[in-house]
Amino acid sequence: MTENAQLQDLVGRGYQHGFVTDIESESLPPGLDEDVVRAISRIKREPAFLTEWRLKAFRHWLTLREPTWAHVRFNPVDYQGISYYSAPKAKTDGPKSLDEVDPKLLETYEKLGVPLHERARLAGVAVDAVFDSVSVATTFKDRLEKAGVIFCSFSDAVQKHPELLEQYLGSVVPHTDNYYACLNSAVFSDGSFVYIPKGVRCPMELSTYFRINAAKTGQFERTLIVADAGSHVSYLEGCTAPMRDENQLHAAVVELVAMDDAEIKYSTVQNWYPGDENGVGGIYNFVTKRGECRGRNSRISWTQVETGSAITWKYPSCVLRGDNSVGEFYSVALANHCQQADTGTKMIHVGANTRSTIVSKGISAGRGQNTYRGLVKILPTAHGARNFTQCDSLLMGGRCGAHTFPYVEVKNPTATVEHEASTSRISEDQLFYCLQRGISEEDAVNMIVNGFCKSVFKELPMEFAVEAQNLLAVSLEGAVG
Amino acid sequence: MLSIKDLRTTVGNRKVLDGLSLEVPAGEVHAIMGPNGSGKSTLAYTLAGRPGYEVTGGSVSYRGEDLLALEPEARAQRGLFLGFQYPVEIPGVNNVYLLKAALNAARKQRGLPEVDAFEFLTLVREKMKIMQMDESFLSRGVNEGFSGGEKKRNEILQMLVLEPSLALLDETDSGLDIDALKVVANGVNTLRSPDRAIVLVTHYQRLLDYIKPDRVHVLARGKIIRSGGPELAQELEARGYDWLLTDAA
Amino acid sequence: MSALPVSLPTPRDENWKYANLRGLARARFEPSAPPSSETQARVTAALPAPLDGFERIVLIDGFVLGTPVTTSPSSPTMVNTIETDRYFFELNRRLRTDTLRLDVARHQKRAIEVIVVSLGTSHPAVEIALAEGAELSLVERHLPLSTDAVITNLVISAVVGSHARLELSRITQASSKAQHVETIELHLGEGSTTKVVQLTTGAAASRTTAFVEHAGRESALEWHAAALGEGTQSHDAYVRIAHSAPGAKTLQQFRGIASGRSRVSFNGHMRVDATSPNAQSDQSLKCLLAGPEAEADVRPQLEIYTDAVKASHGATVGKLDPDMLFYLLSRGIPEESASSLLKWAFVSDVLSRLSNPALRAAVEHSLERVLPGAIAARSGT
Repeated sequence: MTENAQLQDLVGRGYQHGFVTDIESESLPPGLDEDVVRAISRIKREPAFLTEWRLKAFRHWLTLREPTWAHVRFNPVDYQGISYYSAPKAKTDGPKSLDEVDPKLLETYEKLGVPLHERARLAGVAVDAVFDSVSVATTFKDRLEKAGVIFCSFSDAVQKHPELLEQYLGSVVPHTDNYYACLNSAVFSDGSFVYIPKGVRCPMELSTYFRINAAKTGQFERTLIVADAGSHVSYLEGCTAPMRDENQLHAAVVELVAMDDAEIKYSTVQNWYPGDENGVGGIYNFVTKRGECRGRNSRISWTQVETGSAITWKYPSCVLRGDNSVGEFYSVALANHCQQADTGTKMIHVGANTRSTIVSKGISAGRGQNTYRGLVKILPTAHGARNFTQCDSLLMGGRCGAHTFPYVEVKNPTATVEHEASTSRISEDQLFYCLQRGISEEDAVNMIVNGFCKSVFKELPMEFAVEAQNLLAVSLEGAVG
Repeated sequence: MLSIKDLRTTVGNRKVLDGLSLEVPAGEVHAIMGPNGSGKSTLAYTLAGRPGYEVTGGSVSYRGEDLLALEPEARAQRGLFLGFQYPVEIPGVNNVYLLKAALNAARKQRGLPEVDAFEFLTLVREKMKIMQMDESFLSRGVNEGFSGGEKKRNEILQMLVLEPSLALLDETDSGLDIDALKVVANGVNTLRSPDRAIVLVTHYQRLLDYIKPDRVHVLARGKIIRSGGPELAQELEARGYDWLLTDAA
Repeated sequence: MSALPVSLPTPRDENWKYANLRGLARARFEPSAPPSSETQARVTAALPAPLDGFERIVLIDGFVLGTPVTTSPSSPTMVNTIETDRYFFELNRRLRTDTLRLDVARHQKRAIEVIVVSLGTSHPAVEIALAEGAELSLVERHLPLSTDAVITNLVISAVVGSHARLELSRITQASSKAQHVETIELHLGEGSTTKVVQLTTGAAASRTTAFVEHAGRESALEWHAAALGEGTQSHDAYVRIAHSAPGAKTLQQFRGIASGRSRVSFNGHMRVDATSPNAQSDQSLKCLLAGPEAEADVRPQLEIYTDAVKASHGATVGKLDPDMLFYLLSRGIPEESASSLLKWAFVSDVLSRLSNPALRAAVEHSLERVLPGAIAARSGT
């Protein structure tokens, strides 16, 4: 196929979730000050501790500057030009059952391949759907309640479980953590809350589906997952947005807490609108994700497939505090056209015999710039700690970039840290071998790229793995020439 | 089946094939022999369309079509199979997956529907039996971590599944012990039929003890310098190539 | 002295995160006074045996003894560097007294040994220019003659002409109170071959900052460095290698051993520009932690702007392999010798690249103090 034909194909197909839902929404006017922060808190009917927490974060945010160390370049964000709250107009107040949800919203999620009707859903996955600033529906609530699992929107949790929030909110990512996390702490609107009680194995996969719809809004959701001693949960996160010429800000915070012997598996397929092939539009994805293995023998595993966003700034990390705790990070990041991704992880080893594994696969195409940035830090207390990092980059075309910026800091002589990295283009031998077997160039490239990413995909739950492979194929269109 | 006329190929800036002509009719097995560096592998790669092997003259007709005008994958889809001398490892890509994709690509070209997954697996298992390959092969990556012998068996297995019209086997016998050689030869022999042609590129006569060729050609300095029946291979085994080279010079 | 354009780097500066500059932060930098004739005589008497076939030049506190020098610094050739990273280079340019200029004419060969002695605060400067096809084997040795808290701020600049060959063997040893900081810049011409072998021991704190540019096509660089830290020493290196021309090749390895409470760090930044297709970059950074409070930091960085590239990088930090250690113990080698031997083997990856056998023997001998019993265990005596 010629390059031209491929480009046309790409323009023809391109981003498949770029539609806008025409729905009446209630938004705060653009701008940010203490009154806006108070207004969000009031709309959410939050207890005083939370309002205070937001205000503390906001005041601290005013003293901070945007970080500049990431290997990305973008137009400055006008923080006063953004509306910090936008919600589809609710027909009734209070918690909604699916029947009360606006049919247009249900239709939106159908189109996105996330049907919210429980009967239509494949068994075994409960969904919390976040539309702009609010959660619109959470499925399978009853079945989860029977198991003792709390899975609800953050707003619901504020009303029903304030004591849990007060205990855990900001305990992994404090409100002072970094510029974007601090902003999020001040203005976050909704998100998901999960609590798995002691000894419970969550009976189904939990998932949140994030959708930005309204123009000129930012999305600032907050997810908090607490796995109490001996519990187990697998959580999936998906994201899309309409195609718009403007850049929209997404600054989320995810906090995970794993107590003794608990296990949290957190998977993300991030497909925010990446902008067009000339770099116009697209989401700025500035996300802080961190998990704390607070208990002994606990485990937190991050798996991410990052194909969307104009800019990605994201480092899902693990603080391995409990002895024998395990942190994992598996990542596929793709930067095509003018996308820029600066992503990686931090593994902070505090406890004895803590272990971490990092597998990062970066794919750069077009004029895309893909950066792995990672920190492995072994503190003096982390006797016998181990880390293994594998960090590979694949380049497609002469105008893209692939960068690896690891930091390895070891302060305990009984620790072992290994880092391996490679960078190359698709091997011409592999490509010819596939062609000689009659496979088209595009299929061959997809096959080889998928093979390159396999060690990450195999960490994803089955349905997500298939979605991820397809997404990669669509996102790579036009990259072969 | 295959008609090569005055083929000239350069690799880098080096002339390798220099006026090579060869006719391979359907139903026949031809062996191409010759000393190291004579252009045997270049011939195989040129016919398969490997990038970097630039044809500067001559023509190749394959089943009445201009082979050189086709993309490498189109040649394969039309039934041309190259057994690689050094089969490539493709980490993370499953053997069976590649094979299925290849078979479906060829079927699509012929206007046939995609093969049913169950039937396909039955087919592969049956061919694996011929090649005496282990079940674990099914779950492994393409040639990933295979020994030299396993890679060569895998090449022949792919050939048996794809059932090409023209098979070019480049040094398929190199690096095989005698038992593996028999298995590979047996695999090739099962494919012999009146509507197929097989071209064996080899360095030694050894393989020809198990796969009887109809014709033997000697390739040296970029062209065929001698052709004959199976007895030519015996003679080469006994006398080496030097006498031919001095004859030709 | 004119004001410096930037201020002293701090740990907040990205490329100085692991450097210990506390000793330098308190220092007063002034041009040094020429060595007296008594000093010169004392130094001369302490010089090591000369290397066969090498011219010898001695620098005391940055003054060149008895050799033609230029006193005005030539213009720097560094490109794309962060201002802070040039701080000590700029300081040297302002405060240097002599510049030792080493020229090798077209297709000529030279072998030179430079001995560097610091007795106070000094800013030695060496400029190297190799014309087309020239060859220079340069051995640079530092003699720790003073036990005071001396400060050395060294600059070496080299322009390696087309098809020229430079071999730079650098043995930096300093006394335990010394502060050692150096900036090296290399400009590599077409088809040139450069090999740097560097061993860093001693000093309270050392820092190497290096900028290399593959400016000509098909230039090749090998960079082999080893650092041994003991006590509370800190050895930090930042080596930035830019591949700007087609076919540039780099092989880099670092072996660091941190004993006691020392800190060893290496930040190797490889950059491959879009103007450098078919570049190749191999990097292997390994650190051994041999003390209960030792620390090692490594940063194998890659910044790549072309798909026509092959880069493979590896880094490890860990302890001595217990299996290997046990194997040696089971063969009757005492524990201290066994661990010294393994450390020895670890740095041998670098030391074996020293091509001059006499120099290598001298260096190995000097390591006997740091790795006791290694030589004996190795030779089986």
